[in-house]
Amino acid sequence: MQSLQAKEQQVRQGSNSLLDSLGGFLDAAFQVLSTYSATIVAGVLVLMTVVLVAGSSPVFRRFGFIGFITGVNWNPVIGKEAFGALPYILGTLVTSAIAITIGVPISLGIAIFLSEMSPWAVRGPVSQLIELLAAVPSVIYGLWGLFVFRFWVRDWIETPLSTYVGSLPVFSGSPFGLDVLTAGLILAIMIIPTVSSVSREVMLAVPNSQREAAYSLGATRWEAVRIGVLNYSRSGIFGATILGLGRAVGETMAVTMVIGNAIGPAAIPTSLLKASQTLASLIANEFNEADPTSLHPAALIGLGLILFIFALLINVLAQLLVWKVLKVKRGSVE
Amino acid sequence: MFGLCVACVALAVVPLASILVEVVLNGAPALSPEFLTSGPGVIGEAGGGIGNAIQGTLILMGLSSLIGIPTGVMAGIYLAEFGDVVFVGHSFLTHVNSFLSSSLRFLNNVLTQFPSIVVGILAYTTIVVALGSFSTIAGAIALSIIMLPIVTRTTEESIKLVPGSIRDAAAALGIRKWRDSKRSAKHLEERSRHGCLACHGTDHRGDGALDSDGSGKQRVLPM
Repeated sequence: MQSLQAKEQQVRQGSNSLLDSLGGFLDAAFQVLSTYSATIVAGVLVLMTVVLVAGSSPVFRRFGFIGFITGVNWNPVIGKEAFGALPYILGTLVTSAIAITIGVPISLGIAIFLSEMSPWAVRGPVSQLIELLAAVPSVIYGLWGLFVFRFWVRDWIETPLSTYVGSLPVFSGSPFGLDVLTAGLILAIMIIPTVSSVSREVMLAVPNSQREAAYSLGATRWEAVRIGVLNYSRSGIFGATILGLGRAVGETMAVTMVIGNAIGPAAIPTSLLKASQTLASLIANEFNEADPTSLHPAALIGLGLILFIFALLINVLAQLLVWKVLKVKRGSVE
Repeated sequence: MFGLCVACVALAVVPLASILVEVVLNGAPALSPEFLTSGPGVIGEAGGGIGNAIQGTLILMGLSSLIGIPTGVMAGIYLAEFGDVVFVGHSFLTHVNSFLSSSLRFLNNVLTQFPSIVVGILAYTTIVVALGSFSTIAGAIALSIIMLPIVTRTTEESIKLVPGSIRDAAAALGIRKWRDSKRSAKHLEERSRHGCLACHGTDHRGDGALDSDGSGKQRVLPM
């Protein structure tokens, strides 16, 4: 009996020891390799910071950080250099603000429709249609904006605005269709899938007891949505909005094709019906032609650094908000 | 109120419909075998095609997938499988690991929505300047940086959907951890590839397998 047991143990050890030690090594190697792969993301962000700061330092040394972000002139000609980022910072902020103002209410309407009101049969197809908007490449949005949407905006929005309230400074200028308003509206369309899908998820995570409580107090359907659902999911909707903002701030091709690409003081977005420029669109327009021996690339990398800071702040804020909501969501499920 | 919500949906669908109609109506007549296969014509003259552009797109897609997918899948496996590993008897290591995995997950989510033009500047200043000229490999590296966080996130979410019982069963059968993960990774790669290919064009998500904005929702179980 004993010898049999001993033999069995011996066989088991003998036949497996090599495989076992190899397997153990592969296990460890696999874990180390996957850990390294995961740290690449952090490496990319660090490298990005270093590259942007180093690449833009000549322009900051020449004009100073404050001087660069408050300057309005833009002249890459050697000997007459002047680089100021203010018009493009404002252009980015104004177009993104238009996108949020128009895009978020529409997205919320879609999210409420999909989570609260639509019949079950419609829910899937409609949400897939909306998600299809996210699958359209941004350069296609740009082309469509240039050839189609521009004329819609010019004829149906800008001409009436200019005719009736053109005396207001915000609507001054002649309707042309390639301006701040068109860029903002294109961005509004582009952020709809992001904002509406996140808001929908957040609304679907609201426990039914919230709605039931509102109904039991005699609320109408809209009141139940407002009191029970919107109130409860406020911070998640805010997070969705910030995510949309992140997309709007960094969007490049579509904006470049419809914003009119003004330069220097002319690019300050004082009116909605005026050509302007965003940080991303100016980089896209000029990076290829910048003379590597001049300050021009450094100035464009400086714009990139500002955009990087914007995107970092926005995305960190959005992640914190969305995480918070998802934690609540997980808690409510468990 | 119902009407208002339906109007919102309509407002979003109109641009989509218009884009599809315009692209198909104006684009379809231009498509022909010669147009798809011949190189660019002489500037100012009629003729020429997009053969070179298609070839370039395919090469770029292949190269960036070659770099981005393996790295992203490995990173996703780390976040899903090893991120919460407890090193028995080493509370310090356990703490380091859990801090590392949660901060890497955070940075990954931050990078998912990053402006592609900033990634472009990174690729230009590091690779194009170093090599002395524009190149396909510079483009491929830039694209793989853009797709990396998306692949990582999709992989992680998919692996997390694998029921713990299957993981336990594999361990009970004596299957090594790396083989176990590798097997699920194979299924995943198919899933995430949809997302990745589409992200070349849209630097966003592909087939709705995963929202790149925090509301991941998977339809297919990878096992």
